[in-house]
Amino acid sequence: MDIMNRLPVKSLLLFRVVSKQWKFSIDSFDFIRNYGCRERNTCCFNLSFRHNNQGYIHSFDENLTFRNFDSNLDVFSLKPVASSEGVWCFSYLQNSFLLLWNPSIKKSVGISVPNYIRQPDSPKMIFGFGIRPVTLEPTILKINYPLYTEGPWFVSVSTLSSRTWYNLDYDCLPRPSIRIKRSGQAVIDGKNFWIGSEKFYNDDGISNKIYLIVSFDLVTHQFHVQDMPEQVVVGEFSPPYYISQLGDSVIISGSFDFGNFRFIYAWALDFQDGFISSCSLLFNFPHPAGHFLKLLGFTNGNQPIVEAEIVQQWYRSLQVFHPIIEEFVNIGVEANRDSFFIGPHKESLILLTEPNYIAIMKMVPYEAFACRCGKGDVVLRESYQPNTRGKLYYACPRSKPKENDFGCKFFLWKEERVRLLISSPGSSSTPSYSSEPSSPNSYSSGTTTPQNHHSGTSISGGCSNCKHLLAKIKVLEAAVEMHMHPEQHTRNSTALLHELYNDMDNLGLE
Amino acid sequence: MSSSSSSKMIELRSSDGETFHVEETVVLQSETIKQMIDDDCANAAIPLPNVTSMTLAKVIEYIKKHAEKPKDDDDKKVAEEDLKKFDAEFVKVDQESMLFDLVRAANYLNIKSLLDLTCQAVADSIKDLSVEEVRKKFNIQNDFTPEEEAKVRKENAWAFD
Repeated sequence: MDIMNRLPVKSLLLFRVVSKQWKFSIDSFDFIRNYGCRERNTCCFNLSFRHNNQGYIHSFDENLTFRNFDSNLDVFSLKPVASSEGVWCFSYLQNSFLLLWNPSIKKSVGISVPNYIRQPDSPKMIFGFGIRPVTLEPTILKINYPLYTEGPWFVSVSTLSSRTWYNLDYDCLPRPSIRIKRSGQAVIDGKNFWIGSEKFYNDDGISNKIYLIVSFDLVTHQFHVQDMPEQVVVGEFSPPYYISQLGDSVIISGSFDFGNFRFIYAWALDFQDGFISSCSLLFNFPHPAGHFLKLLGFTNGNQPIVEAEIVQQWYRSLQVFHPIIEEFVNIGVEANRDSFFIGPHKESLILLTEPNYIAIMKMVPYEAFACRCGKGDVVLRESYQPNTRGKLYYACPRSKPKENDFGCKFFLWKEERVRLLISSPGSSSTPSYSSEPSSPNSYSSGTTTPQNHHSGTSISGGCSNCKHLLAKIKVLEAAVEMHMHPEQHTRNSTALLHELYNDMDNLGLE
Repeated sequence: MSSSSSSKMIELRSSDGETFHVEETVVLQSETIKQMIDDDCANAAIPLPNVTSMTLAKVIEYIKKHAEKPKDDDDKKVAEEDLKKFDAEFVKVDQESMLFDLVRAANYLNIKSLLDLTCQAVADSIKDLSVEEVRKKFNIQNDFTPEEEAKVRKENAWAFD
């Protein structure tokens, strides 16, 4: 075991095949726990971002050279919540699911998020995520509070092993007047940290906002609120503050306007037993006034990495501080606004024994059409089932069963649609798709999707709207493919609809 | 070594009956022997039934080297470099079985730094091996059925590329 413990995770994944005993040992809770989380020199941090309609994950080494991370994740539809000990947590499908992802073993696990009636499911739903120390238990928090009014918090906590959510008692929660900034969180020493704020009104009715540090203990499941240290102020300004982390310190940063110049300030907060023990200015760097910099994280050499918004530039760029020329340098990655997310790379076996989640399907945004079942757009997805891997299919986004809802049953293999296109009158052939006969399509959908997604034929019962829609989709698809490139496809184009109905007349579908 | 005369000597006996005389200060790196000395069990030769004379000689070479104390700070840096080189050379053994013997001896004698060093050396030597090579090396019978093995392989297919 002393030897096994020193192997890199990739070798361990490989050696699970050696024998049953080896697999048993590597998969054991104790081994995974003792293995812990390790930094590796070959990869320093992972970066996710969106650019136009695509999502990307890059991994960076210490020289800041990067390569695309082959993750099998539909990064565009995933919204990073936090990263802790190298494990990432994303939310997707309007906060109805969370995805945990351990890049070092390329394992992802999905968790469905409950909707309690007595909890206000406002857009101010905030997730927290952290790996509990020692047990390495992934722990998830769901925080709800009213969006526009002051009101109590509702917080549910779940751990991966329990898979159940429980509501925190009122006395574990922060004051109802406190709100937290959901754009970022730090996870240090078994505690989650957010920037919080509280609004006060003076006698004239003018509001005054003060900033706070809100933390959550992943072991005791208690919230804790502390004042922002007095040092974290520059003049009269109170800009948007951002939170990140460096080693065991929470970093609070902000960009301050000084006329011709702006400065990015960062303070390091150290904690002892959960309380702020010291606060010191980490850096203040000037940068051109036309730039707005937001601190994302740090390189392995402790140089700050920022997302830069530059006046008159559409995309945000990733910039790293260069200690010799003392300026932020663009390292050549562009992204949509507020989409950069950085997580330090660590190797661990967390999630190893969890079944790989099947819902990591790539949604291709261009080929989406409104599903007439009224619940959203039909989307083209890529199958990740072993026996149909890589095959594309259409499905209603609400195909997942929920409480009181069995999901929409619409399902169609793309290749079947292609076959239909080829045989249908008036359509050009589409050589880009192979029309191999679809062998018995055993799209088995695991635990969360209903069994009748199995489809030897293209439709498998279900809502009549979708059956009807299916026919329409086929025609619409043909129209789209013949007349335009997907990139130029606008969903509600009247011309397209016109053509759709023409085509339907031709086919006598309606 | 000038100081050797002043230090108490401890007698160790290997599994094949050979005896070694080592200074007490050096041998204290072994937690196991330290415990024996503390318990006053080290008056006669300490028998080490799990360690052969060949392995024990290597272990003593290691602990002697690691017992050397640098005189000043400048010396310390040099000594650290020197020790690193020594460690790197130390685990370059001709026969792999020797490395495993050293792991077992370090484990039995409870010498943490030697255990770390030798375990890391073994881990480095096997980390890039294929599954088949590992089975051969450790003489492990594959008890998976072909279907089971295929299933386990598929779980982390990317690692096998």
